Amino acid sequence: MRNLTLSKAVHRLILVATTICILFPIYWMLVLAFTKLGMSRSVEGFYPASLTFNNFTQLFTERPMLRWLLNSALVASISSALSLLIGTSAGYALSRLHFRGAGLIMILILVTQMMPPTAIVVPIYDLFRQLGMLNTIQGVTLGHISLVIPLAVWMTKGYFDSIPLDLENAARIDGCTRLAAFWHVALPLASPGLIVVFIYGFVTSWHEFLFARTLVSQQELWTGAVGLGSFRGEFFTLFEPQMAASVVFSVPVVLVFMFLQRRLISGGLAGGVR
Amino acid sequence: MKNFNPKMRQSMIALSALLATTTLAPAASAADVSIFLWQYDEPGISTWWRNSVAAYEAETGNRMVVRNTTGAQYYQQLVIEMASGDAADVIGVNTSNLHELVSAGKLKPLDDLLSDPAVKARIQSGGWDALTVDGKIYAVPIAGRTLEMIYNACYFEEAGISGPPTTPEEYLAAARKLTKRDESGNITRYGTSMMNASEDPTYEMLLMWTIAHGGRFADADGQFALTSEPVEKALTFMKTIYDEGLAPRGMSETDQRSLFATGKTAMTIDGQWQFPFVEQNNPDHYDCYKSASRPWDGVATGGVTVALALNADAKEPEAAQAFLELITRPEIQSTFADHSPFVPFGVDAVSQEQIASRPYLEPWLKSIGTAIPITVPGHENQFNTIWPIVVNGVVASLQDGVEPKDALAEVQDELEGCCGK
Amino acid sequence: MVPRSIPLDARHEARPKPALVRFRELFSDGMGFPALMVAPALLTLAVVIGFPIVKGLILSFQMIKLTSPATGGDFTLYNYVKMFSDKNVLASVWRSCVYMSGSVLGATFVGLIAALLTRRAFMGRSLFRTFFILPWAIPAVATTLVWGVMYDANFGVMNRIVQLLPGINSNIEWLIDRDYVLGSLIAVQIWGDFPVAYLFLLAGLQAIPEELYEAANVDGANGWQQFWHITAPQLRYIVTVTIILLGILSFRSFAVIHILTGGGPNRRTETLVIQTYNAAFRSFDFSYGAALGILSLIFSVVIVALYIRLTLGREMRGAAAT
Repeated sequence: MRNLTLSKAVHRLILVATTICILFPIYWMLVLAFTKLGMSRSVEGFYPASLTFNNFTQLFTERPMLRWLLNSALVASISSALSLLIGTSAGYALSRLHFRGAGLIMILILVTQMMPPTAIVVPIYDLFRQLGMLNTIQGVTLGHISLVIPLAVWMTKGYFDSIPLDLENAARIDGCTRLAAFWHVALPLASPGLIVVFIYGFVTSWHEFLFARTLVSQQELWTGAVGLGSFRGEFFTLFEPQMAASVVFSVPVVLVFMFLQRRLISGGLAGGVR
Repeated sequence: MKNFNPKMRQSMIALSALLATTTLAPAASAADVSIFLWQYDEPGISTWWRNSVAAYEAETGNRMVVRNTTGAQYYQQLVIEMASGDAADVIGVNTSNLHELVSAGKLKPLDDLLSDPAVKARIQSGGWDALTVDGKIYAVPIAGRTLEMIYNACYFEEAGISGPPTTPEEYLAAARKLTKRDESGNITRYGTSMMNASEDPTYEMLLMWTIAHGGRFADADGQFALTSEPVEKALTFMKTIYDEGLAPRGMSETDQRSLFATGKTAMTIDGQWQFPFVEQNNPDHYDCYKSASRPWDGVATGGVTVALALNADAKEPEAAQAFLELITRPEIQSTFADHSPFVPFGVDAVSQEQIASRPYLEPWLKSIGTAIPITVPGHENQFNTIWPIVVNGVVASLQDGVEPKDALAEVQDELEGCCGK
Repeated sequence: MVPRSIPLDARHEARPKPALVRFRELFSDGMGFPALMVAPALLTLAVVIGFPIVKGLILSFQMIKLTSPATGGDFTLYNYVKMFSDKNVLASVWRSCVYMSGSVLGATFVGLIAALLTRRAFMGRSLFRTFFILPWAIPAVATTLVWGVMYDANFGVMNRIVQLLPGINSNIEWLIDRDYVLGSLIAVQIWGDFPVAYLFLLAGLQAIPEELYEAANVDGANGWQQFWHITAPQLRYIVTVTIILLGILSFRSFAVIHILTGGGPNRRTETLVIQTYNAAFRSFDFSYGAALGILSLIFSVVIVALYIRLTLGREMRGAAAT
């Protein structure tokens, strides 16, 4: 028993130390978000001398923050859901169907992410212009899907690999179709991986800047990430309001994660929880 | 309530536009004209742009599609849109990029518009001159800027300095006196701002001090002169300021501006936009901030920073040109200074009352007519190739300890390699 | 990947069949449905990214410079010759490697520690899990700016923190000093990326059956042995995918370097991606930018292929069923 409490204490110690290191920049961001405009380099010591809420109220009175948040929410939820759907189906097929060239497909899928986007941004713009998708939410969504699919395929393939085929076969012997076996057996078992893919897709889309900025030139269609960039004006960066906007802008992601992380527990572990 | 007036006026104009289009529908069908701007949401000047667009729509019945970007992303986005043949009909440009856009064949000369001498007479000739390439005018100047001295008079008084410096030597001496350190030697207040990060303002900083030492980046024939004595003196001057810690190191231009505006720096050489920003964000000390002429005898740098040009492949060239005509009119030009501290180029566009409401503008009003563009003479269309090379040399010397002479020799080599004649 | 034996058995069952049989099977009960399942992913990627990459490839063999009229679409090797004779390119490749390795190793390590710490239930676990995801919840544009303020040599909080340590009392110039600058940037990259590793590894840990640990406990294995003999092998695939993804993220990383140093001082932090950006958007030489992009692409493909061969050789061959 003594051993157990000691290891518990060590665990808590490392946990708290790690957390402090990780959270400090975020704490500092909060400090700056409550600092008067232009004064972020005047904060002395480790906590602010005075607080102002101005930066936050300004977000909603002087900028279309709400609109940006709604755009982001729309793009992020649709693109992550579609990426998950498309990626999962491909991941499942690549895991279960062993055909010549499957390995090559896996690599090719990955290769699409290796070209620095700035090198192909002109062809991308041109493509979306020809598709008639400039200045549309659909265009940005499609762009974001293309960023998340590769990871979705790789992640879900790994998960399906780990699920014994026997389980599905058993279901099929019981009269299920392949689709039903996939739906009722493989999918639930892979759910932690799918949740992770969804979170990854959501956050990637939430932050994505290049597609969202290049393909859209109307402020009312901007996503939040582009809106954040707009605090850098021609002569001054409205740094402290930008920090306030960042704080507000990260809240939905935190909520999505808090809601979904409870489901990041597999059946196998749940039984063993002390 | 003050905030509502422009909006009300805007909706009134929009309403009248609606009435105009429905009742007096013009014979020609209405067009969608696109315009590419980076200031459409910039506080202050944004109101002026919106009013101008509304007036245009009301008069012509055309619809103006505004493509809106931020100052930081403006040129990259413009280039992307141009490269895929999709640029707007009316394009915002400045004197740093006008020449390269013209030599790439992307802009249309304003011959048609200016065939009417009355239109040409509405704008000061100096403004047209700055936008002339090979004898043809390519853009309508909207606003200009130069860089002049701005200083914190309270700090000057405290340090016992009688007035703003007028020579580089006085400037350096003042910067030394004004820099404050705590007991462990760390700086608590900088004497001066000095751009020295890897960004284009650093290029202009070197150019200014080169002019102050009596030189330029190229001679009259367009041969690069980066190894000439004035440039070397200028870089050595900057290195002294840098090494002694009189200015923030490696900090971006916008960050240095905030530092000055909030009293962490005692003086700077910058544009008039500092004053409205200080007034709004540091009102208690606003009275300390004073302007003066730059601390050297030579010209100032700057000129036209916002101008409107016509896309050579415009989809609606006539409707686009009509907007340029409208923007030159006295009634549009004269409202400019109500919204912006910039200097408009319309003839007599700034009234005595407008000047009186912004007394700090004096040094800028004096220098706007004589300022030189920051591009290198004879290499105007290569600015975006040249400035990164120059900035690399400056940064290597300041941040990495390369001797000014050696750093500039390498810059000269590289410039002759890429852009020499 | 869980019980190692079962998927391998499954693969045995799926021995390759003659082409015609497989073709027919595609449309019969079994195989048609999996083939249809891969199509949407491939199609989307081919159109949205594949097509622009091919255009970029073509561009790299032309001379298209927006701001110069003397350019054209004729085939030329000019950009590649220029690239291989530019000493800065080789230096950038090397910097990219250092930046990438440092970021990936750091982020994977921190992510793994965090995942192990919050794996089992304890009071407030979900709170800590949320804490560990926070650096990722805020866009990099914003967090990088915060780091910039923290790193400020004179007014930054970072120097105040390190000066709490004994023996340090002068200000460090985090983003200028040649001994610190690359490390300072890597730290920001690690901080921003480790939540990705954390998330994936956490999900990977959930897939390991608790029974394996219970059996090991009975055998008297200590924590380290359990990690080495159970956790590590079971996480192999996920760790590989994580490292590949982090590698791609940090290799492509733009915001952190662009915002904090712009590639300076004296090119010391100029990675291949920064150089690509400068070619395309400072000089507007799209062809040279595309050529540098192709170099990045080839470089990443080689590294990733080698890496996959080393770590997942068996799985990939299994998938290829050769």
